[in-house]
Amino acid sequence: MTRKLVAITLLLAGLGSGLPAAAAGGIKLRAQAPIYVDSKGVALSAPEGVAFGAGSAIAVSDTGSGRIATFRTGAGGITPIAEFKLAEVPYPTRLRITSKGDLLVLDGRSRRIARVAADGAFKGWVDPGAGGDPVVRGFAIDRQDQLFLLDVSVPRVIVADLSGKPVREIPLPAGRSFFSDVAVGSRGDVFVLDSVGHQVYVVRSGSTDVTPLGGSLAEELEFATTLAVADTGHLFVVDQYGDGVVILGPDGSFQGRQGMMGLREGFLRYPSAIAYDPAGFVYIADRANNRVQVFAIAQ
Amino acid sequence: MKTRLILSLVVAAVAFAAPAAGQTDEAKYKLKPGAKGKTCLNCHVQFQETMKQPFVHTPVKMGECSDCHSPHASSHGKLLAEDPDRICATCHAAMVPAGAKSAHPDAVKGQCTKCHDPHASANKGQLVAGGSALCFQCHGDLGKAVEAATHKHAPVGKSCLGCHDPHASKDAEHLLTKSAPALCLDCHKTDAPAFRTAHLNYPVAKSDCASCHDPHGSGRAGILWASVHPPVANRMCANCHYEATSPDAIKTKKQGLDGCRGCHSELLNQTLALNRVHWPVLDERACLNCHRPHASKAGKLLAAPEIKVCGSCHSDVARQAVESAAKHAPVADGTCSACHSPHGSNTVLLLNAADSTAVCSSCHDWSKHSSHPIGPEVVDPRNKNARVDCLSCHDVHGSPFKYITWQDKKMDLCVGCHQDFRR
Repeated sequence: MTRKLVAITLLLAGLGSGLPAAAAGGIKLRAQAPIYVDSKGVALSAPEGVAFGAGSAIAVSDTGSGRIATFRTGAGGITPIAEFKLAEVPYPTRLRITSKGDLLVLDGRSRRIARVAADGAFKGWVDPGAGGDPVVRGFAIDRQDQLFLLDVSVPRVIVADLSGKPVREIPLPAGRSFFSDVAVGSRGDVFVLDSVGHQVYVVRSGSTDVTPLGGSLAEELEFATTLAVADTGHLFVVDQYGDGVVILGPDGSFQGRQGMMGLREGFLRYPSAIAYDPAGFVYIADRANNRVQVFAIAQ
Repeated sequence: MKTRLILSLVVAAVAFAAPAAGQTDEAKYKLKPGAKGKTCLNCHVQFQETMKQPFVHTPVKMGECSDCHSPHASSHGKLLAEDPDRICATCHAAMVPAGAKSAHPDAVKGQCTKCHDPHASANKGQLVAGGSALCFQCHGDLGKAVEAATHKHAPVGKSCLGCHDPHASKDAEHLLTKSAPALCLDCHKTDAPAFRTAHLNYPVAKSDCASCHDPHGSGRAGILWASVHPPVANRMCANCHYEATSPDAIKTKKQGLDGCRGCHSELLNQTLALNRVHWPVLDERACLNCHRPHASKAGKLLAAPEIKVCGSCHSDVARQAVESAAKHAPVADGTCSACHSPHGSNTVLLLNAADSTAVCSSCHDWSKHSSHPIGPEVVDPRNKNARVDCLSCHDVHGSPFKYITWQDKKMDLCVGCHQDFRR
């Protein structure tokens, strides 16, 4: 609440400035031109997911329109590539890109992950063969195309191959928490976000111990739902209800908060996903603003 | 010579610095007899009446006013010798044990005089009122409910202290002297035939009695909570649990969603077919994240009033609802479901209509005929992909500003879009 008041005050002070970010330690996010439309010039609608991957591809779940839009980023900026709808995925939400450029898309209605070629061809389902009846809330993929499926039914992280065949499981702490997202770092560390407990947990590479990464973020977050890891080990935690991004150091230390509620470029409204681009950008599915915001990571 | 001088100085210093042990304050400070308090009554004559009351605070009885008051001057009101919130603890330090599982907020804050008269009263413990009446001065709603209950829990009529410790409970929630069921079993014998019959021979001795019963009394037989799950009301425990004779009698036959699916399949099928299911519905506790399986004080078997249930996860929104000066009526009423579908929805934010404008229009129908232009055709000048809707100007969960607007003055709000008019 206090943060919202501060945000409103800053908003008033900074109307039209285009860069509402408050200082975030050594890292700042500088707003670039957002993605508003797909390859056919159709406006995005409530995009829920965004991913970056092989070939500098950006994939967007244009959830409100029930379709997927793809883009490519390069020296000339971001270029729209394609857009498609899939009968199997009527309500695309979160998505990832494999090392071969295929898309993995979580469908909100069936709550299954579809494997989709870059041209939009449906290639099958990722069916976690783990015991029970997994309910995947979020998922991540590492550079070896190993999947990390956040199963909220238990809760646990199922590590699986691209078909869903489980390799191992990481049990998550039970209690009055709710896990919303999982991310995997370039060194194999797995990060899990507890939205209700305002806590990021880490499972270090080669370990199954789930430990809190840094302290509670209760003072920093309203209701965070997704996260991404930079190659430096910094984490970007998207605070959906707080309309911002909290940046954590590799040790979980709070480095600062960027973004605030607003409609102008650089502001966020109910951001719902974030993707990290090693070239020095993050892409944020700015859901209620019907666009994907692009931020350059500045030290 | 020098050594003798030093010794003399040391002896003198010790003599002046520390009055002899065992010496009374009267002697130490050369006070007149009674100056620690009895002399006070020469002026404060009304205290002679106070001291005639049946229960008098020991220092008062002993005429030791200066135990609590500084006779000359003080930094605190009423010449108290210490901060009013701390002075009682100078003698009564352990009223709230460290690590107490529950504690009375007033006791924690040291606001002892809310319940106790520091001088004297007609009630034991110098309480300002007797019995449960004192508790109901603050817990008025509970008092009314107790009075209205047609099926009363006998101990409640006697005193709240039969079950509660008014200061803190080291091991139990709600200031209970013991956790349920141990507390309940002090009076209720589980092997008594009537008890066994009432519970259909289920071995409930280790169960939480309050999962079905309202310990403060109820309008229902068996002091069941107001809202009862029909299988419980109809004594059909075996609908969900194994038979009473089973070694697993207390366990449910099915867990999670499957446990509820048998009766609520239609609701579940409708919910699971939606674009967005509220995620807790799908976790291992499923329905029990929000609902109680047996009985509840709240409607729809909710585990607590709606705002508390929702706020147990969405504490950010609940806090905003409480702290905002301007409140949206459904938020002030704590009815999140006025706008949201708690099980699932086809729209973002689990709205219970196709979009936010439709949600608002269900109450504010004027928005359809006389309002600022809103709707899919009205592009928000701040964002070419956004359309003007109610949320463009209003923060529906609460705001510091009148009409729950995002910004303070109408001009600030309006020039966010109408920049030509910015001054």
